[in-house]
Amino acid sequence: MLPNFSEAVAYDANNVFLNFTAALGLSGVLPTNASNVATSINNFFNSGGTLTPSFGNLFSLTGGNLSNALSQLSGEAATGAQQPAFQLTNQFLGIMLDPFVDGRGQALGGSAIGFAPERQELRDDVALAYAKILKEPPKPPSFEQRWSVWGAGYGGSNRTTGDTIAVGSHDLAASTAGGTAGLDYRLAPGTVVGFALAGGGTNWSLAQGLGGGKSDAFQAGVYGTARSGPAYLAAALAFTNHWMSTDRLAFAGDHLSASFNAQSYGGRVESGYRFATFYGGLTPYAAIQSQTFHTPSYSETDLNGGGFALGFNSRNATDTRSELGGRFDRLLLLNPEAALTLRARVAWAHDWISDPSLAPVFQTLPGATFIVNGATPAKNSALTSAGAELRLANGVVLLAKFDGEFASHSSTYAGTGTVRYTW
Amino acid sequence: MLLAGSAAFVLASVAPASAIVINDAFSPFSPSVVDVNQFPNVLSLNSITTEDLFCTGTLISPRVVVTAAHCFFDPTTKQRVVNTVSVGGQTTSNISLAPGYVPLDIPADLAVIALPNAITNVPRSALQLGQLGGGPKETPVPNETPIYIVGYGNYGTGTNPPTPDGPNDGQRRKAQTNIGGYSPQSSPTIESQNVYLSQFRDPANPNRFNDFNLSTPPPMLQGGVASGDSGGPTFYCPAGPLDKCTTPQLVQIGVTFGVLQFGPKLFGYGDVGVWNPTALFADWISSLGLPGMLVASAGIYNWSDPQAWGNGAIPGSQDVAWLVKQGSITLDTNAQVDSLWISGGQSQFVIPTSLGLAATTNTNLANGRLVVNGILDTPFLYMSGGVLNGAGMITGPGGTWVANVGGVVAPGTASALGTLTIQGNYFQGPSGELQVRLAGIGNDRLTVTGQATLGGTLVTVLMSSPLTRQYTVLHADGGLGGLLSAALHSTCCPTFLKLSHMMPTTFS
Repeated sequence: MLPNFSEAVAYDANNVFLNFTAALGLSGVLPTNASNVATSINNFFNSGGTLTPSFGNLFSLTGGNLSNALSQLSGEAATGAQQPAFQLTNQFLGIMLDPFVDGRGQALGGSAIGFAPERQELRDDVALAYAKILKEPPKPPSFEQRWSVWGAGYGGSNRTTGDTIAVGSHDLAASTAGGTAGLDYRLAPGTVVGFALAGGGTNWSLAQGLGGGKSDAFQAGVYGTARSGPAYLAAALAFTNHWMSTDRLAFAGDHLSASFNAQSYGGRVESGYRFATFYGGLTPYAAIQSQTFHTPSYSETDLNGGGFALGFNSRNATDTRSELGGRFDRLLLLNPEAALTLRARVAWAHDWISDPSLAPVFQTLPGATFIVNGATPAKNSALTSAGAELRLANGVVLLAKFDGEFASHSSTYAGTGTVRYTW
Repeated sequence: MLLAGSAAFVLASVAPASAIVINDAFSPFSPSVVDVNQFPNVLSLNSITTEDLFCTGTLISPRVVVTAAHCFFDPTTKQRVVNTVSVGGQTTSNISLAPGYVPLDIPADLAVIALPNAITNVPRSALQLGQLGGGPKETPVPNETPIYIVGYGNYGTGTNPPTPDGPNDGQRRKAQTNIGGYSPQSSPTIESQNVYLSQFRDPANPNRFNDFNLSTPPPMLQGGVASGDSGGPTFYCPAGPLDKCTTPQLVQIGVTFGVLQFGPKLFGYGDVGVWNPTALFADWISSLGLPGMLVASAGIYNWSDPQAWGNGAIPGSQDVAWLVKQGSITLDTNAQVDSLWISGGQSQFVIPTSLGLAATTNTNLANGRLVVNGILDTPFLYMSGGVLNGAGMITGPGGTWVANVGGVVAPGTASALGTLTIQGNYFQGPSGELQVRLAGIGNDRLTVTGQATLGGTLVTVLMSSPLTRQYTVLHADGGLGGLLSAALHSTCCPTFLKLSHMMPTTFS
């Protein structure tokens, strides 16, 4: 009759009381998330709080029904916001800085491409190739070629596996997309600075219909590279503003949504050194990338009055990533008007990343706060990239690149397409 | 069974002689034995020809006396020899014998006598009614229960009991004993009918005659019945100890048949008294159309509708209003009766908001339903069964006393949660129930302005999930317990009300 209460008759000098003790979920084993929700409700009730009828209805549930309802109440969907936010900034930083994207001031040294102003440093093999194929060598970028403009589109998707048994977190599917345009200015040979603006968005959803969210994002960044011979140092800063919203269905079909503005701040520093080999260039590199994702304090709107809306405190999630790896490039020549370069990357990334854990509170149960954990993000990933760059004689460069990040319980696939024009 | 053996079987009556036999520690003439004024509702039955006393009877309503059927028969010839009696200063021949009575057999040895005039100047005890028309008909008062026995019979002591011929001085005497059994008897016409039994034990030697293996020690005033006590009453107090009840708070549960000789001397120590339970005959009594007993018609009526009552007369201040048949009576005007009895399983009596019924002697709920949304003004509400609902008030002169022995007190109405107020004291026995509904943050409640002495069961009906930690289901201004003996209080409260649940759909 009362699976989630214990009760007792109590007395004082003049009264007979029926006392209830909430024991929601205590008769079985619940995953941590569900258990945390149950405990907060139990504590609220047992401290003398008055539940709303909506919460009262929970107490008739047992077993899987109860576990599912508590999962829905946990608001786990909100934990998914950081994953695509980090992902979006990661991609934006990569586009601005990735030395793969050549022409942004002859990254990796013009020697690799042959369009470097240090024409005299062309390797013999390369110079010979140009001599054979091109009627005349492409017009090398002179120091007077101070400007280049570029545009890129990018997108990616991530899937992170939850732990439904112990933690009660669920599989997270996150995706990003954006378009950006930038302008470079060469300060000096081997030194380029630039800025980029981007518009994009994120989208995420949790398995088992637990809801998700999305954002429209504006991004802005600045970057710079400096090189000395085969060595380079590059850095970028990025800011993102997210117009973010969440949407989910809680127990008994309660439709809950929230809208808020979130911000990301990120920076990346990378350095490497290129060795020329018979098969192409090999560039060991190391990078540090750090991000902060800020969400404000916000409250869900209870669209149909179901009574389960949550409130969230403001929060800063951080992700500091180290990368150690190598980049490879190999030049292929197509015809006198175009050059194709194939590129690849393999790296190990380690992330010091905030666990996606939030401490929401039920708006109708003051003080009833609890911890909800999202799917644990990857800590160690293998980064792989493959790309191709087509450089045309008229100063236009086309680039396509595909990235994969692989970790235990998590995988990300991303793609980038870039067009650049230098004059 | 105790009675199935070779025990001598002796009737304790018929000869115009007289009373109670007391244990050796008391003189039959002790003031505590000779009853001067405690039981003026216990009357002697006298022959109109000789004025000799021959039996005892009890006033159960202003115009009805209950006694034993065998009082009207010759013990030797088994012929009806008495057709007119003098009782309570009145002479009447309106005598009804219980159906199926075979002269001098034990079953159905019960008769009622209708009086020409109402007797209203004596306190009356309540009558144990059967749960008629549904539900268990027999809910006997349990073994060990202390009882009074009262009569005008021959007197003596346990060691020196009277003979069937005397002595007798016409005095009314009282004694106490404990119920020892509730066992079936048979006659040529009645295959099986239960009777109450009690053995006359010796307080100085409690286990010498304890064939019922009672654990209760014999009371100080332990006694037995003798010739002339026939037809007399045995009373119990719903609250347990007899001294916790005044005469109007006692309940008559039996009519004296006589004794079975188990001891060395007839009427002495060891003999077993026999009582026919009144509960088994309430249905029959209600069917007799006795004067001053107005039985509600079957169907749904307002109180002041003449068709509501069997003989077309609306109950008045000297009448018993008795609901036995299937139906409902709703009060539509303030009214006063001597007493209100509800014993039909499908009977309902409703006092609406802002109206009141005064039942000046008592209200007796054995089965069915009593809904008090207005005011019920009665000194004693005895609940051997049935359901008490409502959001009104039960009060009485100087405060009422509600004794819920075997019924259900369920405050509130069918349509809404509510608080029922008892202006007075409330007693709930081990078989009583307090039933409250909980709905979110509200609940039914029983409020008692005096003391509440609680046993039995608290039944909670969850209309929806509890939303708060604590619900006050009963409040007693005068405190919990205390009404009864300290012993009962101390044993009641650690485990106190047992808790059980009922699905909302079964709310009644």
